[in-house]
Amino acid sequence: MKLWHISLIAIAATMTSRDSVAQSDAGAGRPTTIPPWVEVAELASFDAEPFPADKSRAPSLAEWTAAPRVRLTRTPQRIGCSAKRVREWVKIRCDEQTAGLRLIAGSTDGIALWVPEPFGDNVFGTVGRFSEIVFPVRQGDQRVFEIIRFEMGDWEGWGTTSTYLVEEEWLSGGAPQIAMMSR
Amino acid sequence: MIVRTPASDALFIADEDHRVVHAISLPAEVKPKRADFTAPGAPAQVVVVGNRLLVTVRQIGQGGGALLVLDRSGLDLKEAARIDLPVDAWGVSVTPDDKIALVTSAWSHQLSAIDLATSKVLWSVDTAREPRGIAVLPGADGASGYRAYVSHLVGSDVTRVDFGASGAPTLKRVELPAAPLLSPANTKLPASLGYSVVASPRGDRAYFPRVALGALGPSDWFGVGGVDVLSTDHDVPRAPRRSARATAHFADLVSKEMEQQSGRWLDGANPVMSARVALSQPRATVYRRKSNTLLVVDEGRNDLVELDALAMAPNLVSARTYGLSKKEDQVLHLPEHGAAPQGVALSEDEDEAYVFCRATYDVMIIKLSPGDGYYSVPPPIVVGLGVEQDKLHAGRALFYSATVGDVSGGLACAGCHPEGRDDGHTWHEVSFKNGDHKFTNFIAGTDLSSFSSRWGDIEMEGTGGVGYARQTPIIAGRLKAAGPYGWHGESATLEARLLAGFGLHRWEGGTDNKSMMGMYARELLPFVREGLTPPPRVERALTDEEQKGRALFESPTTLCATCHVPASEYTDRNVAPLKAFPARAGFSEDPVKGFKTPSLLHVGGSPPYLHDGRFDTLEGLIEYNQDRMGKTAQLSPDERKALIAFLRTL
Repeated sequence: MKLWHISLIAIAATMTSRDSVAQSDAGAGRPTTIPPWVEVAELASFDAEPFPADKSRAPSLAEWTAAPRVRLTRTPQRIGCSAKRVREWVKIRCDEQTAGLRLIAGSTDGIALWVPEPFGDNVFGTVGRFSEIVFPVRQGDQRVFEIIRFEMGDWEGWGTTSTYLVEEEWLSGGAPQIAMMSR
Repeated sequence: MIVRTPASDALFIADEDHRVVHAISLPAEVKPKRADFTAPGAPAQVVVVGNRLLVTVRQIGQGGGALLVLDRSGLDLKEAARIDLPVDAWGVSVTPDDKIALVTSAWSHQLSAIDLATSKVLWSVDTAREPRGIAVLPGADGASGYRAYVSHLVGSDVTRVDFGASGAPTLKRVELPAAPLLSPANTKLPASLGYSVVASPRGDRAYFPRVALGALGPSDWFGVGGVDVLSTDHDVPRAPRRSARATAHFADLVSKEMEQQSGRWLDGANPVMSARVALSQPRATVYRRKSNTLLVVDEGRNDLVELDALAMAPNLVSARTYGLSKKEDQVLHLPEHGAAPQGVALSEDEDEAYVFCRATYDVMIIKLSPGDGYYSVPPPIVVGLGVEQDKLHAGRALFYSATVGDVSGGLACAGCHPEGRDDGHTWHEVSFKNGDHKFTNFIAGTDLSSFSSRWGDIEMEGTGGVGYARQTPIIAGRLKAAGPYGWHGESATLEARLLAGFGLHRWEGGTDNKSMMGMYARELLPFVREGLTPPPRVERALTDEEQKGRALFESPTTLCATCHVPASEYTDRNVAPLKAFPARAGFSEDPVKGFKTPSLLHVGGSPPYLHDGRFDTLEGLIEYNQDRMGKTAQLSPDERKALIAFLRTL
């Protein structure tokens, strides 16, 4: 099994445990907490601290929880997504209903993609209620991720539509860049 | 093609069809003044240097091309210098210090440098086929001298040239895959319509608008028009290649729908994401600094499109589209203004764009969006150039239009036959069956996954590949004969061929509106015969080698002239059985073995060769022809060289 498969399962496991917390919260009748949007200009840039030369293991859930938010090179206005960094690892979380995530191009090394499954009877109200992308930022990277959301239509019921692209790039001699763009 | 003066007091427009440089005073919204300068040949591009204009002229008389240096006084222009250049002078750009002009000569595939102080040609060098746009930058890494990037109308690779005020230039071909994020896995796609290139203000990126032939999308039979970005620090593409196998995670209910091919619209079910903006015929571009965007004119859709210049693949992310066309006639439904945009310039404050439209001969002024977010675009303002409509008016508009549904399936005649020339591509003519619906179309590539992800299983005729090979021929200057037309001579007349083309050049066959199609064909016919300018040929005596080649061509031992009759465009228009090669990889074996003798006019500049485009050079064609067409197996190496030299003069 490839390393990224293992990472995916690991992240999936942590997300599942978080998911169950959210489920119990919802079951207790409390509203699902959606973090308030922070003006990205107030945040430190994701590359404010130098990136380590050596590879490290993917962060634990505790490390992610403790990590502060960071600002990406570019983000569109009015987007319900945020980013965190631990060592060379970056996590982008979108609190928008998501149908799926995809790595279009670039290395699969270390990446993890997560979209939660529904709970309870309200399938469409709870499926993909957030999404997370985790990846390491290393020299030579050129990755493109796609974030795909649900779309409600008249004649076909629901469908899906590609909504955001995430570009991660660290070319030789340059600085790392992570851009998130509306499609 | 259109330029604003630094003082913002005038626009100048190169109008090839009327051989005129038009001048319009600014601001143009209210009663602009106009003046025309008659050029000695067709002017292609124009730039301003101080109080002078530099104008490329494609050909003067039957001779070569030229760069005109024009002194300007208000709207009046006066020729100050004429610099002879290789024929078909087209693109022009100037070094940042205004000392040297670079000019591309398209048909003769030359790049020339001109010292503007002395009006002397510093050098002319050979490049790849059809060089067009030029972006000049300072030398790399602070080095003295300059570097420039050149786009090509045909092919995906681009050219880099490093040069100084003296000495020979260094040319390098730079690999720039077309639309790598929309390409079939492990495939480098060909490109076409590379008319232009522009650099970012910092010079760290060069942008090449063009069409990626065979790029994937839900119904993109010809590919996808977009912008390929080169990182100039190391001459590497900014967009990575699409992974052969995408890594994805979808919610279970989405995954199940994807497996069932339920007919839902599912972005993600398709292995390739769709472009947000699919240009049909990108033609010219400028960089808008205040918003870090590119403005690209789409000749086929009559749009000005504003794309994110910081993205790896600008047409994959959100963009703004400004419609240019205005009014529509009630019979042919063609725009009265703003058709076939081919040039764009920005106002000094970058809040307005000026777009020259070649089919309606007007300049459209567009108020650009101030920034992100919703913006209600006011209608464009029309500034006429004082040119009267001629009898080719409707045909010209149809030739460039990708939006007249009865004629074009999203790519106009000019998309595959730019300026009546060719795209250098070999298309797949495929007969499909989708349920009860049968249709025959051209498609650019062999990957049908985008079609089937949307339409389900699609059957097609033929085995061993996808469709039959059909190399795009040049049409300008080759359409005088009554008929027949088509690679198999299947269309008895040119009108019949146009009607067949309306159905072939699209997805899902032609429309049922026969009366409108007939009307469009009759308008288009005189334009493709009389309105397209054939590639230029310089009148001169044949060299000894070329004369030897002509004798061989006309000799009964080779039989070349038996079918390629000189008096009738070097063709007898007969359909003759061809001792076929095995089908090329990716194509099916064509069961019809008879092929109409193609014209050899302009053959030297229009590779690839043979109906299936299997030979990249005339040398390869003659080497492997043996006695399939005429008899060439017995020719010595010198005789073959002479024959090829003669063919290049046609």
